[in-house]
Amino acid sequence: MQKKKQTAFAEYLSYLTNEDAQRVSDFFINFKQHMLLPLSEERKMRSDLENALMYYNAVGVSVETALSRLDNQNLGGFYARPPSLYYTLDDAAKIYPLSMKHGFMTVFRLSAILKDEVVPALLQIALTFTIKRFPRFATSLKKGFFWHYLDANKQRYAIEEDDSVPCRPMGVGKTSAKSFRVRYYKTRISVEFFHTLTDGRGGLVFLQTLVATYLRLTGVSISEHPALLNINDAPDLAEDANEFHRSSSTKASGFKEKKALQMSGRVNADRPYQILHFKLDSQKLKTTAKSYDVTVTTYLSTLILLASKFATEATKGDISIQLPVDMRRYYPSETLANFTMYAGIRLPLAEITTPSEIMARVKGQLADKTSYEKMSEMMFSAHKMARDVRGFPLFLKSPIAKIVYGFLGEKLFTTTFSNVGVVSAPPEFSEHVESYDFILGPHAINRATCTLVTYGAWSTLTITKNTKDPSFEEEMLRLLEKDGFTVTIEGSALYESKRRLSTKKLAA
Amino acid sequence: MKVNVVYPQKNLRRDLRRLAIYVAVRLFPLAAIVSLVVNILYGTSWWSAIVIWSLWGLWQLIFSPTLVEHNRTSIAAKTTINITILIVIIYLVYPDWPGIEVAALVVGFGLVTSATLFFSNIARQKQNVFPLIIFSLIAIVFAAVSLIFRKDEPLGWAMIVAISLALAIILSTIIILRINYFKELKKRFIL
Repeated sequence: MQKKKQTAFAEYLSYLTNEDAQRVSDFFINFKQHMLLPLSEERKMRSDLENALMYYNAVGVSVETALSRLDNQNLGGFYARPPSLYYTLDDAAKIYPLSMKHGFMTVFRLSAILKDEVVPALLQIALTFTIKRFPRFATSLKKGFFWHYLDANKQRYAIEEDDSVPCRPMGVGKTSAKSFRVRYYKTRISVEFFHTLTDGRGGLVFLQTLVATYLRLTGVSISEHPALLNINDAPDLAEDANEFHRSSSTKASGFKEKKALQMSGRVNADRPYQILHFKLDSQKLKTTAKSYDVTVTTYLSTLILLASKFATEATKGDISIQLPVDMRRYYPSETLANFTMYAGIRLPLAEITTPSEIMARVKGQLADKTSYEKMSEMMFSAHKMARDVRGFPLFLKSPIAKIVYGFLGEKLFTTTFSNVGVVSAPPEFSEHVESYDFILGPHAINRATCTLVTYGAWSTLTITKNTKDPSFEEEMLRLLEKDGFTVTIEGSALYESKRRLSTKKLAA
Repeated sequence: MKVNVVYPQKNLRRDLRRLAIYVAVRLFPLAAIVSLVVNILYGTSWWSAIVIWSLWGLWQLIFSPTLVEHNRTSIAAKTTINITILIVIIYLVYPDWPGIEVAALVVGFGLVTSATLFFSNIARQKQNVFPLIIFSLIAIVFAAVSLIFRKDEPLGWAMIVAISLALAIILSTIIILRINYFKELKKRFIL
């Protein structure tokens, strides 16, 4: 295979003029100067560049233009320096490695759906160029005596074809294991993150920067924009900051909740069971929420409460929604580490009646629980908790954290609804990017989780299903249609085992 | 509800590992309880301790390996520690053989194995130096304590060999990694 590739590249070189061949040769000499990776990694990166050059040749891009797009300056000194940095985990991230189990870890996925099919050869180069600007992401999770931490890990970060179930656990335990993956499928570029690395906002900055780099490689001129980072700028220390110590509150609170009801239906062993994207007209969503005199988050949270009630057979108890809150709203920050807390909306089952009746209560709860004071108190709690237990060795913290997370954790909530808001992007994106979506990885006991992301004309409401029972999403659809939405539904087929599929075939 | 499928079709294969865990998670505790009950009812010695520790060791090695830093050095170190504890338990239950000295020899063998795995690909494995250091320190403590209490027994040299090997490994890693050795230690003790 390698020989075949070499032959293809040799053949490509043989068709070049002497001048172009010399340019390519100089380019690879210069590439070598940017490399200090092990030879096997260097060869793979060289092969990536060869593939990109052959792609450019196939689509009629001149050698000179191709080489300028692939300029080795974009590699910077990142691959030419031995790894020496390490990063402590922020206070929110510390729980994720402690609470993960075999087959379960907190993973989320952000995707950009382009208008044209993704070119893998260029996406690989885009990742190679982009990752150097995010040194915090170019790391492996390690175990310290007191806490886990992120250790710099220089390697070729490879893209993967999206041929598996989204948000599957990552093998973060292996030597040089990474805590994120970049995947592609047809027109979609996806990045999956282990939550210990970053939160939705940090993930979005990475995705936006990756997409911008990819588009530049395809020849699109992308202007500078605050939503993305310049890949050739030096990383800023503020991007790695643990911001939890900034809380203005000295009162700890926020984690005291009682158990919530769960939707009915057996949690599937293979999770997620299905991914559903409800594509909604963003303008219509805004006006509908406004007609109820609430925000989009309040409006959809209300519908989620109603759909959750519909999806449970329980007769008493509370339905509770966990809403992640970006703390950058309260404490402006450039950090790419986790800086998210959550607010919980909770209503007794019997009091969840109609949208118009409960909307005001949801609005009131949201306003109260996401107030600056309440969020600051919760932030202080998280910081205090991490500070109080820091002196205990990890082998003591780890089992205790697992037990506490098992007893509390997801059991406090029926579902999660994460709204990352309106994606801000350079104007050139509108011609090349159709929409975005955001998937929360499967939870251990919550039957469904929801997210919302808005870009241009589309708001994508994503439901991650962990059970076969379709009640929740069918009720969501019914409620949305009742409010006049025309919903386009995209998603995955059911992720089922072969055995079940063959049984179905027989039954048919 | 009509769903326009935009993800690749994925028929999940039967997960044999998960099936094995499903069986083991029921079978292992059952086997441990049965052996303990039989031991209490009919036993003359505490042989069930050997069974229970063996089951625990197997569980950790096969069904529930470490999720962070599951590398060849740490696997070798952890396996050696589990086997050593098993030998010590066997010795405590059946004391008529030089169990502690054999345990020290196993520690020595484990140190050689871990060090070989570590040094055979130092460029990649240097990030896994911490499990090797911890294992070497545990080996020194174990062998030193054994030596103090059993210096007059035959095969006492096994403990000296284990201590020497552990010290040699620590020194070698310091010499090879130089300043990075201390940087590595600093990272591992972040509060």
